[in-house]
Amino acid sequence: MGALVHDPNVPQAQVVLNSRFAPGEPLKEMIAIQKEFDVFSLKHSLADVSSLLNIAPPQAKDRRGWFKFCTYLKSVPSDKKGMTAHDRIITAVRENLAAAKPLPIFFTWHPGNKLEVSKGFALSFSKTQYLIISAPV
Amino acid sequence: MCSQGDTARTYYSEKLKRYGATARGVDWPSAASQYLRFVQLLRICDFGRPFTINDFGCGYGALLEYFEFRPPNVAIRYHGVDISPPMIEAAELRWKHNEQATFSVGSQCPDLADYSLASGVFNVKLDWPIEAWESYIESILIDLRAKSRRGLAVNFMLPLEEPDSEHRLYRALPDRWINLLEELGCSVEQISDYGLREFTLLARIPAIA
Repeated sequence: MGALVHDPNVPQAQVVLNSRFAPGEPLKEMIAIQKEFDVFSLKHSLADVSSLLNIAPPQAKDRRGWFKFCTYLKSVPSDKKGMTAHDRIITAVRENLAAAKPLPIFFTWHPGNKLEVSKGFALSFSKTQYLIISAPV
Repeated sequence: MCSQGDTARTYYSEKLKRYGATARGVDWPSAASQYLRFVQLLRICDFGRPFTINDFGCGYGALLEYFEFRPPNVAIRYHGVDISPPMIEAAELRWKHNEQATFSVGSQCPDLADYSLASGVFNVKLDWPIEAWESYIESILIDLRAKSRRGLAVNFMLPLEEPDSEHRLYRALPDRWINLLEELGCSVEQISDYGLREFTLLARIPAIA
């Protein structure tokens, strides 16, 4: 991602992303948006969803890089056989937001070549369980 | 002397200059959250027949953008009003192809319409004392009532659990504004719990027998 979003701004992009799926009101808002508009759907690209939800870095150059990164995920494998990282993110978020008890979502990254989705305690100091989506970088 | 309207004009003109004709340019966190508000406000409208609508505090005409995102199945004649001249310039440029849309600069709706909507216009009070800001809101609601044939819809932010943390925003409980709209002869329905910390009031105007 560093090649597309200026390195020092990557943590800020992560904060923007995670704050929109954080426990409490942000998650409630995302659930309501999904229920009303079905935004996380394979009919829409992740770049379009990011734009609609304004989940992107504030700087114009980084925003363009972010949307390119979303598109690049179409060529990245995931932990689900035959599913790209792009589709895996959309599917995982969609299923979670429609669940009886949706979890807050924590986006992170790891060295590797596959996108991974799991459930766990994303913040070691917190007992809140998250859906964790980790992109390979 | 500076009025509440002047404050709003300066504030939103600056936002537009910084972020352009986008959701952020009218101080919403995203287009999706703005659309979610429109869903609630538009519950006032009967989509079974054509209607006219005043969009008070229209910004760059985001409601028209919503109608492109989710097209209505009836003809709607739209008039957008905003206190910020640059905002109306941006709206006119953006929607010049739309023959059903007109715009004007002002702090009141110029003409009667079937419905009037105001989304988010009461939220940013900046340094105005609460009493002065509420008096400003009251004057807007009275005008919206006078310029609507069938109903009006408005939204307000609900108070935070820690009320002192955002003194430049106006947050309210519904009762005061429900009472005012009822005094103005409306039958009021409150909508809340739609994923945002706010409520929407749908004020229906009884038909004259």
